[in-house]
Amino acid sequence: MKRSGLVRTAASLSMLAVALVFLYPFFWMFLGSFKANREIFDTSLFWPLKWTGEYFAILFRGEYFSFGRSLLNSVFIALAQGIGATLLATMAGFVLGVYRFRSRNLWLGVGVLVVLVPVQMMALPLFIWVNRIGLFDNPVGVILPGLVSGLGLLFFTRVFRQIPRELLDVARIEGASEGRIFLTVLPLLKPFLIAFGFAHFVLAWHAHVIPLLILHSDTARTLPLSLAALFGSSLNSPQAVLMAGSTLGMIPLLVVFGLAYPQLKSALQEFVAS
Amino acid sequence: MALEKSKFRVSWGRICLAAPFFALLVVFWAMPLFQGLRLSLESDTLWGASRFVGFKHYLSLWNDHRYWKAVLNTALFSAATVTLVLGFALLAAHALTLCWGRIRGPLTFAFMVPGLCPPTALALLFLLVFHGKEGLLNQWVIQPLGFETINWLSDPDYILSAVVIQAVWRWTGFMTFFLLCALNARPRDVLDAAAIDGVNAWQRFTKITLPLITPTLLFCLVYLVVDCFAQFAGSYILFGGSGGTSDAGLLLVSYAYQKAFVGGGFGSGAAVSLSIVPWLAGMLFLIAFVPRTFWKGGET
Repeated sequence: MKRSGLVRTAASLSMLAVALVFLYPFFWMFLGSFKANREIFDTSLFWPLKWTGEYFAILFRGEYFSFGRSLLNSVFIALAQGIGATLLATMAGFVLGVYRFRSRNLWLGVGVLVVLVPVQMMALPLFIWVNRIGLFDNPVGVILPGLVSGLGLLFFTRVFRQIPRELLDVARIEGASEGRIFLTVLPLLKPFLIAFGFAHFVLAWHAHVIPLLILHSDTARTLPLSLAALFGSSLNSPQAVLMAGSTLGMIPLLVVFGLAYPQLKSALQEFVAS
Repeated sequence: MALEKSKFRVSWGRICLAAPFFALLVVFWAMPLFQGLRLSLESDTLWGASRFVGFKHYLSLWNDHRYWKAVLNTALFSAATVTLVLGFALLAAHALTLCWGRIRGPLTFAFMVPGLCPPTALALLFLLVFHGKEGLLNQWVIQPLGFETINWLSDPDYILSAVVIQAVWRWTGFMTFFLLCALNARPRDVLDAAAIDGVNAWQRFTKITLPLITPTLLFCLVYLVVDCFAQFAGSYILFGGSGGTSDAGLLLVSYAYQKAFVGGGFGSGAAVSLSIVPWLAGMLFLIAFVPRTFWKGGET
């Protein structure tokens, strides 16, 4: 369809304005990492009065919490959950999407149930249970519950259903085992794997309730938890450290997001179009 | 498309592939659920032996006005968030399809950044935007329009709106992205033909576009509803697990947390969590699984 230039310009300019509003808080957050408390709470002030790296230095010296350690914990937990959940969901989704057998709908139904009753709703019983099996204050206790994604199962079941039948037939006639067929098909689904893995990575990165309950010691805490503890501690502590930590904490997410974005887009468009 | 109907033949390959997922599901989803159910029927003893008390916790919730406040808040928060986010996202996605091609990608990316923002940073941004006197919202919107400044974070009439605005800011970008992908996947020729035949823009939207993007809309709806019900980080950081002034910002997950860890009652905390399960599950089931077209996908 031809659009008149006027409509295009108007839409572009207004969306640019909206994007600025959306991003403004981030500029403020970044600039806030150079400001004294007094300046931060004076929201009419945009630029810091003095550019100082002091607050970043405090952050790295670990005066309030060990930034490097928390970041490492976060990266480890989120990566393990993103990769692990994708792997498990593809394996199970492959079986449910490609083969037809009696109990197939039963297993899909179980997947639906997991979507309907999200694990965050059960944070408290989960905490007690994880405690009982001895994984309290252990990153494994956060990672393992995060590997079960009902949405992932349903997503990949549907994705595998779209694999051309001929391909699977050829593989079967060649006498390939199920595991072999699975490994052959997997590379074809790269955009879907990346899309789901990324979405799960982000959810795991932001997870708050479950890590808050399970991870107790300072060295085990994830970055969001450490930052939240710092925020809650006192308003007299320099807020700029918090701003600096939050700004730096977004970098891994932005990098992963930037890398995944093109794949994300093609996967979603294919999924939606099918 | 399925390959074959297996005839009572046990296929070890398939079992090995599917087993890890379902094994973890049993250990880390079914077990906690079961434990929670049991816990909610027991007395609030912290570590010692607890007694079986039946439905006592559920019954006391029934008479607990704070519980109903939390239910109402959660319902209001979810309804407002979902409506606003989907409305804005639909608008934004349409506007993006009209934008210059070169800036469309970067713009979509920019809208999604708030969704990547950690909850702590959200709390800071709250100060910036919702601060009593100097907050941006007051300075740039409320005052120029000639209203009294609003103390968003302590005035019970406005706390919930502040939480909603934050959720809208946070999720609109992601939903816009999903919807934009759905809009791009529409068959061009059908839309063009309709335009040439004189079908007006509104009818093209309701009769062609809307049915095509319904599955994506449903997906967004489920995602948002679950996120709203499980919303914790935002209100936890803002109100430290309490509900803010006169509980105006009390949500169900924070109430369960409060019951269990501040009040020291694991049993009643579990009862709060589990009491929402049937509501949430029933609602999601109605939204997402009754229109079967979404999950059935290829087969329909």
